[in-house]
Amino acid sequence: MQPTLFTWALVVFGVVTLMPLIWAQLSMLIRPDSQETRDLIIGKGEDWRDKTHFKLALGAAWADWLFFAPLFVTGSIGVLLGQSWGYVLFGAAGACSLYINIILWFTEKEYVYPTRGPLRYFTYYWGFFVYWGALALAYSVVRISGIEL
Amino acid sequence: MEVSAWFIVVFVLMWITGPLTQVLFLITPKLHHRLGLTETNALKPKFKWFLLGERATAYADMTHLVSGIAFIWLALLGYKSALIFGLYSCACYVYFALMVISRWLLLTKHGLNPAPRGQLVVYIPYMVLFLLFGLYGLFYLWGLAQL
Repeated sequence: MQPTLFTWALVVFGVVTLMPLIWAQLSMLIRPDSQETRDLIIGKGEDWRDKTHFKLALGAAWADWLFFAPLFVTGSIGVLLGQSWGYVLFGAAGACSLYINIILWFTEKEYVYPTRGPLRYFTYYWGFFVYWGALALAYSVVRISGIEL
Repeated sequence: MEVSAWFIVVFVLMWITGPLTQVLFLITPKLHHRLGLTETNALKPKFKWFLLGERATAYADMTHLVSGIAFIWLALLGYKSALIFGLYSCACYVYFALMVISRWLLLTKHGLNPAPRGQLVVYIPYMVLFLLFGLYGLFYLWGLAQL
């Protein structure tokens, strides 16, 4: 299960896509009430829809730092080392990315999409997380099934 | 590849109590609420955004409703690709449980939780069960991936 060019491309795509998120979620954990955090999480100049929105976003930040980020980092190391467990963890990180962004599609799209426009929304604001999640998951299926790609 | 019968049985039970109940929430939210599966005060107007989040989660849970079926079917046929569908469900269980427990604790701390304490006494252990099964599932499937 040695890494191929495609493996490297997926890991790099994951790092580029997820690092800003992990940074923003760290800001959420350290300075949850700051304007800088609001700018990062819900957009420049935006405010929380209500108090439950803020707490729900903070809950997601905890889940990202306790589970998603460690899964992505260890999974990426594992696939680059050519280990089968790496593909399991990498696929699990992809699953989380896909899952949370389906939730965000229903909760955040009506606020984020009009202000950011289709190009930004369907790329780095939301789209890349879905594309990376789906690709990471599908790629893990392919590699675990014994197909080299 | 052989997945233990016990793992499949517990997986099916978790699938029934998890994503399958979310189908009920999407189809008949009032019945879901009457059965005590929704937070008691969640339907009140002041929890409009909270309820939107719950509905969004229910839609997302439809993905592991499908992945659960795929896992069981492929595992019974002995295909190794079953692993990834089991993995999807277990990863979602852990992620979701961590997110929901953190949210409930934060909302309770600030007096904003639509679930009264009596309901949380049941809800939190229920989520802890998903968390533990999800972690065990990841560990178990990881073991199978290495065979």
